Amino acid sequence: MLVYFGYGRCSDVCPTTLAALGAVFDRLGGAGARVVVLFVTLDPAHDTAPLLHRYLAAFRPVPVGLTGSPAQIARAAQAWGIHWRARQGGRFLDHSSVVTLMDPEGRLRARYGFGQLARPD
Amino acid sequence: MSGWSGLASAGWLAGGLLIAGVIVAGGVLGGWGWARVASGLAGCVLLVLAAAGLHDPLSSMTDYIAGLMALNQLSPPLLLLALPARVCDRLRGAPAPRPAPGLRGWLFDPVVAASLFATVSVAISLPGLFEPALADALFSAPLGLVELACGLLLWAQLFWPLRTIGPDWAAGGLALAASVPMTAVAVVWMLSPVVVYAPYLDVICRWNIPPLADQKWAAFVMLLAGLPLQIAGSWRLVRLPVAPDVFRAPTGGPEPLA
Repeated sequence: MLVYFGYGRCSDVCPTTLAALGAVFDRLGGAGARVVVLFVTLDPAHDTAPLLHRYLAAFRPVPVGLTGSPAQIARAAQAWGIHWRARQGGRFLDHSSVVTLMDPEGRLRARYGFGQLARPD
Repeated sequence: MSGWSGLASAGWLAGGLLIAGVIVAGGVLGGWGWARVASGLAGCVLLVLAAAGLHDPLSSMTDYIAGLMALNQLSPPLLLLALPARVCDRLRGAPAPRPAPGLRGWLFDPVVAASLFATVSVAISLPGLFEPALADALFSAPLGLVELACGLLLWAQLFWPLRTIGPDWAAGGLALAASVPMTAVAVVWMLSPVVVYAPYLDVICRWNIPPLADQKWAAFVMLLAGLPLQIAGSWRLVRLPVAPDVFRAPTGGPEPLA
């Protein structure tokens, strides 16, 4: 399981990160079928379920979108070590960008940063 | 990078205030002179302000590097300028340029200073060169303190009352050589077409600057911050006379070896 925290109105890092996972799954081949990508929105007010569905459908593999109440999102982000804050009246967010790899037993195995996107292996 | 705890922030502020207190006491009770006190207090201000770039987990790379460079390149010479020669002698345990005794011999050794400075410059800026486990350990350490310590050790070799290296040209050459890795890192960051952040240093998605542009600005900050060391090193290399007495051999003391 790959978990990523982002938001739909992000114009750069979030879509770049999700798009880069496509190359990773190309290398995984058939093994990629056993991996699911989860996208947790940090902007639940704007990223409604239908919007999230439309946004994530553009990526391959299609991530599973997760949302919740602002309090739930805040607790989840804190638990996963994600820092974030609203800017420009909430239209944009500053947030740490990291893809977390979890094994089937729910244990954290690795964290991948933006700098590794150019190296899908 | 993770955010600082309240304790860490308070400790950092307390440390800066403590150093400032020592400097003010030196000026009032020890007759250090207003110029030294002003220099020392400026260094303390930079110490405290550097925390602004380091403690925020959502700082841009530029702000983060500015904080590290303030600790590594800007604060150390200002703090060292505050120390009169007699205090430097007590710190070293032996008048410069004689080797300092015991553990202080390592702290005031020019090769140790230059090696640490160069290694830390590369390790922190291009941690992808190292094994992830080692780099993870490095980034768990208080990097600000590491940068400050390395900066102090290297800059000490440019100040006559503190340095162990004798000839001026050697001290200048040492400083210039030690600055090369940091300059190289800045050039790599500036010219790289991709973000070279290490995987365990969380990249920040900022609303107002893409990561690659942030990296280039950070490189610019690093290049600028390295200029004082390079200027000071060049100055010593050509043995230009300098007014402040900290750059001269103490009167009645040993003459420069060259």
